[in-house]
Amino acid sequence: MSMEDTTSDIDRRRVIKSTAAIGAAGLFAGCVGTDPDETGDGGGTFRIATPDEVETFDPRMNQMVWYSTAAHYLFDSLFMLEPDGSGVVPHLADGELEEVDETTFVVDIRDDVYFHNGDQLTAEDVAYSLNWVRNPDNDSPNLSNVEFIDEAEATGEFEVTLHLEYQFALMEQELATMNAAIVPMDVAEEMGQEEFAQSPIGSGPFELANHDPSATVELEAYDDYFLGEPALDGLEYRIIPEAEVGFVELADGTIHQSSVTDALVDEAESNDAVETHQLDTFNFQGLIINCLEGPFEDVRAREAVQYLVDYDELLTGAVGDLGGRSVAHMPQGVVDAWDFPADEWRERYYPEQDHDRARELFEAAGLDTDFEVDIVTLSGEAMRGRATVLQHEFEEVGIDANVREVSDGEWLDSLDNGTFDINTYGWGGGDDPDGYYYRMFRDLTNDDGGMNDDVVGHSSIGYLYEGARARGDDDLLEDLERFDELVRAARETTDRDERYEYYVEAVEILMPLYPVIGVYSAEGVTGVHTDVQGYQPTEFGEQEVFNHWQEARIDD
Amino acid sequence: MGLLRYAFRRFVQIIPVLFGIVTLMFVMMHALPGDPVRLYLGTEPGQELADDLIASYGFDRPLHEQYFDYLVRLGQGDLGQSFVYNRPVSDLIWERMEPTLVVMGLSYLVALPMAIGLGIYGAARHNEAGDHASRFAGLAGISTPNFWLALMLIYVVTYHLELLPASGYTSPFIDPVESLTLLIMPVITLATAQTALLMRMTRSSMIEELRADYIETARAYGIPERKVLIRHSFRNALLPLVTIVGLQVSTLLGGSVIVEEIFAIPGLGRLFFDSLIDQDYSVAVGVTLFFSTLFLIGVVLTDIAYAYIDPRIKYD
Repeated sequence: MSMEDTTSDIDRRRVIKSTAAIGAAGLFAGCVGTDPDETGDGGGTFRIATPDEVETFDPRMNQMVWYSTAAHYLFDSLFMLEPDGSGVVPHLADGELEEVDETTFVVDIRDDVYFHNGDQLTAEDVAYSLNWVRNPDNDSPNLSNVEFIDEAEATGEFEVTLHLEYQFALMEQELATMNAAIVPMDVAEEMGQEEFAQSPIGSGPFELANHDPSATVELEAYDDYFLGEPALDGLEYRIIPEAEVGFVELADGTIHQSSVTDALVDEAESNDAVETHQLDTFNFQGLIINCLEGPFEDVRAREAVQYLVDYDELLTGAVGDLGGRSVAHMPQGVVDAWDFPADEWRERYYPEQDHDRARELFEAAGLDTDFEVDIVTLSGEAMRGRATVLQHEFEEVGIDANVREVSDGEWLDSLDNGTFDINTYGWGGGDDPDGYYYRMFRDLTNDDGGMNDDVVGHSSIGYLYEGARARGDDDLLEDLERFDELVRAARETTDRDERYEYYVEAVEILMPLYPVIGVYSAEGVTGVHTDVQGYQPTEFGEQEVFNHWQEARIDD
Repeated sequence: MGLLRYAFRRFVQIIPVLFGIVTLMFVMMHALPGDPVRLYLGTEPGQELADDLIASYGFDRPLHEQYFDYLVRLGQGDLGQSFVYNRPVSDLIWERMEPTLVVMGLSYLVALPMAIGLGIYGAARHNEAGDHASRFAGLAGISTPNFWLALMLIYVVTYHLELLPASGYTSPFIDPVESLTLLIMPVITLATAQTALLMRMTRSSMIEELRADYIETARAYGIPERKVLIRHSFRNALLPLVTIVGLQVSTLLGGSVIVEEIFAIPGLGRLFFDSLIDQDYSVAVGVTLFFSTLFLIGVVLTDIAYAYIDPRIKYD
């Protein structure tokens, strides 16, 4: 999963179908060092399996995780993520952002970039593209990702000035995403959004050749790409809903890359024609506990759930080796990258399974065993399995629990209506703590513009705040107010040390409240056919078959 | 003239049935928990954006107003706009119609002759080894879930034997050979249960007819057995078979959802399935309307076919 997908864009597919993105995660490439200037053609067509159809080719309106990746082939952004995710490099930008003051930045644009229709890309196009998404009248679902920009202004033919609403820690990363894709102003205006969604014109290394709805998306190499002509003749996305079928196509060489399900990993590893790559998908799998009403209103009852289950065993049962325990609501990869005090947190907040202690805590919370727990889960083996294990453990301590498997719509309703005691949950938050702590746990009532009145946040965190207010628990409210300040402050400063301190304090406020119990972070496996040369997938990287660092070709 | 009048009357009778189906589907889709805007925007929809989308698609209006609006537009041939694709539903149906019809049509083409041949054979060899074998095959065919059969075919034929491609679709009007290779497994999957059911129906009808007095008479007159089977008993055994063939359109349509999903065929079945998941109301109702129309036309054609099969039937 790419940075842009995981740190910013919130959509149902990220929450509900996070596992579907694992295949797409495999499309990210690492550094193997082919000079893109030495490009040619005749490199074949790289065929990739993807489970979902494209709903729109317009990156400004896109919500699909896999297309957020694929769109990089059609469109460019000002910056590009480095393959190891450690930073960004200028892409359409001709150099770094120049800081005028804390909320004003100037960036030069390359003067050698041409759109697929032959028009030159200018500062006007950049300003137009950013402002279009930022304009609420355009109803872009990506608006929230660029709301840190107040206005983008073309201050020269190839110079753009960004006026920010506030300093934003992830500004450069965001400007490397397809939320900030650059489209040709004249074409987009002339076509209108609906037509542009079907006939996209970008400046990327490939252009749309054909779209066979629900079957294939064919891209062909763009000869005049500013980094040179790609070696590949084209890219083809084959829409194959079933991952098992995609794997069979991969094994016989019909396609060159596909996700590999847990059940097929051994088969894939033993297949000489397939190379497998295990990738961190930066997601969080957990249990949401209803903090507002019902048996878990008392924090001791929530803590009891932490003691109830052997979460290591649950991890093994759910994903085997393809995952690790999450720490402080973040994947291990994020905790490691930030050097958070994981051991200390583990010791303090992650006790071993202890049914006696769980019973004590339930009793302390005023609960005996004559209550019933309503566990809600989405369909899907991993989520259902998690719910079933929890049900079993409740029954082990003499508490009845029932599991309700619901549709996507019912699940979303249950989060907002509080019609659950415990809910299974998955979230792809990227490789920055902001993707977890701001996105999952902030107090929505403090947001500018506000959310719908009946929305309580996608981890139902609103119930924690609402419960504290309803009970007049001033101490808790004070802690929560501090927590909300911290996660907001952490995204509005670029000082990493400062951010670190904010997150450590935030974690230590939230963890003992147990609104959400982290279970594990799943990883994904992608398979690449051995016919593909010069291509190494990793978690990061954009335009990965042809970018600043590597160039793929098919060697039949 | 009687037949034409009858056909006209039967086709007119389709209209209220379709009206009922559309009403039912419209109400059921809107009764589902959740709403498409929420599914589209996710768990934290911004107020302004959510309000805009809800208003632009009229989801904020009373259900009866939305329904009457839909009916008025439907009367003008407008199936509405897909919320997810932001495109007319009729365009989406048109783009995905061919694969579904091709797979269904070929399934019939495969299933019918096989079923009739095996059914007649089984009846003619009643309680002999060949009959037992065909009955066993029929039972296995009916009992095999099509999703399992599809996956097994892919596993054996593609993964192990490397004989056929696992998935995809090419129009037979563009590349007939490639199309055929891609369609073999989906058609086998869809046709297996059809063949089994129709074969059992043919066999039992034929056995009944072969016991009739007029068959004994025909045999006593020395009419060759082949002629007795085909010209005399099979023609009379056709009526129940034709009835089932017409009704089986709905089974094929249901099967197409699974077959298209597994074999990655870009047809209406997948569009319908996705529209249910996304609660894309207009698409779900539009595809249901299309499927229902197909089914009802199949039923009417079946009724009309009775006249040709059995001259005793008169249409007044």
